[in-house]
This record gives sequence, structure tokens and C-alpha cells, in this order.
Amino acid sequence: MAREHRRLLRDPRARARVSLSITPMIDVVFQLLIYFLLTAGFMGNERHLRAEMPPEQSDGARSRELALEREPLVIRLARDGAGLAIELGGGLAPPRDARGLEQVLRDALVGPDSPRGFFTADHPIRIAAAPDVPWQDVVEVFNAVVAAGYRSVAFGGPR
Amino acid sequence: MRRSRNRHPNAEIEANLTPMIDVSFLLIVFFALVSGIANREQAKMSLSRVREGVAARPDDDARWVLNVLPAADGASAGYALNGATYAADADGAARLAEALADGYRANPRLEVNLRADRATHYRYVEPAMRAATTAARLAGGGALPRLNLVVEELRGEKGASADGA
Repeated sequence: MAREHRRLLRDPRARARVSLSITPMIDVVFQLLIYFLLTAGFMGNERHLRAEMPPEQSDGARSRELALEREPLVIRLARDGAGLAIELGGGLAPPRDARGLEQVLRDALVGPDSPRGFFTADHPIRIAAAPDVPWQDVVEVFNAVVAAGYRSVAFGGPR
Repeated sequence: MRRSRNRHPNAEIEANLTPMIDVSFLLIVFFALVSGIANREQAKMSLSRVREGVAARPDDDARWVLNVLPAADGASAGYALNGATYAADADGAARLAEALADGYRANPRLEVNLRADRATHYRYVEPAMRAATTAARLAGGGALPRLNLVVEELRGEKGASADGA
């Protein structure tokens, strides 16, 4: 009897196996994984419109620069009821919306497609928005100016 | 003489699940960390929408994210930068400029990503942009205020420049 008991203890197949059930853990891990995948706040459709801001300068440097720099084309934005009123400097006709602005500015750009153009691509453009203009309208106008081919776009009225 | 196909009829075939669990846990840790960073940088708001093709994809350059926190009726609840909040007034804008100046001192080529709700009025966004230029001046050392306006691209609506013009 004692001999039989010792034989059973030595036999690994006869020993009772203690095993950890990992199936529920895997279930929970996958649930967590799916949760984080769905709730992770990635950037999605986010894009960047690069705006080179003019650096702040001392009054002396500013007056010297003003003497040299070209007169900027100012685009004034004001709220008009639920819409946007766009006023263009330089004697250009006021466009109805941002798409119209893009067309006007594209026509005014010197290039092979627009022989009557009179602005170069690096001509300074200033977007001067009224305080109550929604940011969406300002961004649309900025986008239209960049899409028309201008590179030197800044915010704020002429200094 | 016929050879038996199954020498060990009682042998159990078990998949080794340990590597899969390891990878799963690593993925969970990754998503937990990334979503934490994303929540800190990206305040909940409706970004301005632009047509496809003009705005660029975000690059890998060093950048700080400046959020103009939205409030009702086009107002703003303040500015958020690196987990700190600044009031939407002159004092808050001045403190924001000082905080941004620290970033420019550490890296003169730092980019600032400006996020603002599409309904927020320009009067609240403009001080944030001005804070970036003030910060560059305060930092000195040739720091340039490089600002990225963060927008949302409308899929399917092409911009004129993207049409090959």
C-alpha cells in the first residue's frame, strides 16, 4: 500500500494538476483593448495652415521697415447678419465669399495665367477681422488667400 | 509493416497564449498613455473646416499645442497650454506669452499649434496669436513665432490649388 502511494506520487501524470484559467483574463484584456482603441483621441482629419507671424520689433526698427516694405493688401472682414462682409483694399471689387475672394486674388496675381495681374506671390497680405467675426470665417479667408498662391499672409491691420 | 499515424493519441495540443497576452498588455499601456497625452493637448472643440488640399499634414517638428477653450456664444473660457489654463483677458494673455517664451528659449524653432473652435470670436483668438509674437520677442535669440492654425479637412471638397492650378 505504501509502495503504491509512493509510485503514484512519482508519476507526473497521476499528480493533480493545478492550472490557472486565463480565458477570463484574455476576455478582459481584449475588452480593454477595444475600449482604448475606440476612445483614443487621435488627430483624425486635423491639418495645419502655417502662418508666419511678423516678429514684434522696436519702434525704431518698425519705422525703418515701414519705409522699405510694400503697402500690404488689407482684407477687412466684418460680420454682416449671419454672413460675412469682405472688403478688399487696392481698389479690388469686394467678393461675395471666400471662394470669390480666392478668384479675385488669383486674377490679381502676376503669372502666366493672369497677364493682367499686379501682385507678386510674396506681396504682403493682411487679414484684419472685426472682433465678433467667427474664427471659421477668418480661417476660410486665410485658406483662400493661401490657395490663391500668396505666401506672405499675416493677421491684423496695417501697423 | 504499417506505421501508426498518431503515436500519442492522448497528447493535447495547446496554443501558447503568453506572447499574445504580453502584446495585448503592451497595446493597452500604449493606448492608455497616448490617449492621456492626446486629452491633455486636445481640448474638445469643433475645429474650423477647410477644403481638401491646401492645409498640410502635421509634421514631426517640436511643437506646443495652444488651445483657445470655447464657451457659449462665441466666447472663450481661457487658453490652455501644457496642462495650464490662462484667463481670456489681458493678464492671462501676458502670462501665456511668458509661458510660451520659456518654450522659445528652450527651442527657438518651436512651433505653436493654435486650436480654436470655429464659433469662437476673433477677439479671443487674436490675443493668443499675439502672445506667440510677444513670446518670441521676450525669448530673444532669433526665435521666430511659427504658428500653425489647426483645422479640419473636409474630405471630398478639393481646394483650387489642389486641382493643379
